[in-house]
Amino acid sequence: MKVNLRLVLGHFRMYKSSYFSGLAILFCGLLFSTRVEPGVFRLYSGLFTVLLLLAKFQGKTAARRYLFAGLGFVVFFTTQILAPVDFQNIDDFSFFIPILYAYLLPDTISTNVVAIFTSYIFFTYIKSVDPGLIIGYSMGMVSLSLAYSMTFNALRRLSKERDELQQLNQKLFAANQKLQTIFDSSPVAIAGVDLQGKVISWNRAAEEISGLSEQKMLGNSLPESITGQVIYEEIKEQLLQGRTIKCWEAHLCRQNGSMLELNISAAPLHNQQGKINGFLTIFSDITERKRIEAEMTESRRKLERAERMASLGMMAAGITHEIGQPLNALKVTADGMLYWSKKGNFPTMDKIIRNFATISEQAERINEIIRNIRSFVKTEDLPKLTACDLNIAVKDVLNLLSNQLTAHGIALKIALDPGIPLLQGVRGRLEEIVVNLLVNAMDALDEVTKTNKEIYCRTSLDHDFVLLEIADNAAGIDRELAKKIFEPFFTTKKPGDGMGLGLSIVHSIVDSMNGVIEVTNNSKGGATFRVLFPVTQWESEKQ
Amino acid sequence: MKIMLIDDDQSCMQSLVGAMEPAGYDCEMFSNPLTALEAFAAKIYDVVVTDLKMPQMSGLEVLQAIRNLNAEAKVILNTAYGDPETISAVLKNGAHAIFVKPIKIEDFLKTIGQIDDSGNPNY
Repeated sequence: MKVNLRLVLGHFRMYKSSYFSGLAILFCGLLFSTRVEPGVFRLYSGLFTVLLLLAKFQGKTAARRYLFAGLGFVVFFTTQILAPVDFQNIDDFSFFIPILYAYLLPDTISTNVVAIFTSYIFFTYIKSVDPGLIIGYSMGMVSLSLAYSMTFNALRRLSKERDELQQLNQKLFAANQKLQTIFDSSPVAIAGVDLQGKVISWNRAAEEISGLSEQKMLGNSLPESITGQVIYEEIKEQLLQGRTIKCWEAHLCRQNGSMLELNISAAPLHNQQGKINGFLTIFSDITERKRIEAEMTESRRKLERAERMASLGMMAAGITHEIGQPLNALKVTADGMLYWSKKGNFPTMDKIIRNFATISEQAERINEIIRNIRSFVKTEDLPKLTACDLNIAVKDVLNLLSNQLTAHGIALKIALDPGIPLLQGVRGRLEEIVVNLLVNAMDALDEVTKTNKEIYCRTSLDHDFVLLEIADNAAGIDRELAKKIFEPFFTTKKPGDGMGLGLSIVHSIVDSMNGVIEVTNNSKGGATFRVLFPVTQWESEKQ
Repeated sequence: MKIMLIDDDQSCMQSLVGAMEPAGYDCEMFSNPLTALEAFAAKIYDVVVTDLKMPQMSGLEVLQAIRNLNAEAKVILNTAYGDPETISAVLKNGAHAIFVKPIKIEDFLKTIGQIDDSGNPNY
């Protein structure tokens, strides 16, 4: 394409001693670049001639002037901005010249290449002249009135794309930076491991908690104390199946010898194809929490001891009264005989026998009280809790008591949920709870006169609790009495019919199995005792 | 001499009656103090022997009720709790005597015997 150029002749002087930093020529879609030696230079090809000239511009910094001819288009680079020129003495020249683009070298790696394009390009054109002659020529200034807009736009687009790419890069960098900040600011230790168990990431909290640096950990296995050896294999199995493991506890011995207690969770890591390619492990230091928990357990133990002492005091009063009665009867009977005998008034054999019977009866009553107390005291020190099936305990007791219930005219309604999990308890003691509650219901029903006496016995799962319910349709419990019903020696029964330990024994057994007992009155009459035992996951085999 | 015995514990009452039998007193037993008070209002008793702690009403209330009916009535209290506060409260309310269980039967019979000897003010 031919372009008309205005050649402006100026009064510039040329200096041979100046230098070039580089030249690139885009020709036929190929970019040629060459290191150009200082001085005048000429490139020949069948199509174009390029003359490279140096100039000193108004005695200031060296600027480069280029001359091109017969070229498709030329891209050249300079280390300096083309300076303003003197526009005096401008003559017009027209000749064949393609497009020229001049860029500052640093700008070629920046985003603003296009911005320095200028329509004023300095060059001198000498056709088929020996390079030696060029020096003597004047420099000119040409205003480039037209450019190859296509090339220009292509460059512009390229530049824009590079711009966008750079912005995207910056965004990526920022996003990555943000993730890294979160990763490092997390108060919870985060460790990534590959399938071989080698650490691939290790955040600052992990460094702090473990005392092991990221540098030391990367590419190495997790400390055994974190993984907990045996457990880890089990857990790995679960993770490989895609399951997340929550909250297992482990100890960690730090290099400084201090022991830490850790709470660890883990989840599988997936690659883009959804395949598990590693595990994410997070752990937090729960040493302090554990310490507080231990303190709380200790203070609870103290409180329980105090409660036990208080209940012992209450028991002492109860025992005084309970044993005092038969002891009094016994002593009065014996002493009465002795008193009258001393006075010569001997009792008849019949009277003696009757009195002996009374003495024996009262001694038995005392014995019964002592037996009950022993049973009550025994609950203070239960054997180790094991997995128990509440349904079996209930069935065994019902087998024992069903005849007695029938004899008392009571119908038994049973609803045992076969799906209830095992609970943490002592089998014999569990039966004792059921016996006491059933006998209590039976006694309550004996007090009322009605034809349809019923006891309901149910087991079920209530959230995280195994529930035992024993209800009757007797008179129910006075609200005021309900508060005292589990206190030792509290009874509504007649003296000799029971000393008020049954429900307090139940209460203390339930308590020792970490359960809760509550009593409510039924809307249709009668009372319901609800015993809730916490469901526990069992490591040991089922009983 | 007619004696009223009140105690919710039958065996205690029975043993006292047994011990007093040779003296030939006429003993009447009540396990419910409310029934006993009704009987006291209707009949004449020389002595009332009552337990202190009973579910329906306390021995102290029985003492007060009886003294209201008859200011001269001889009321003896028996209790398993021999604390000074109880004893002084009972005596302040005009009890003739208080015995702490297990009752020393000799003292008890002597006290009853003295009431018998002194004659019955109700006659």
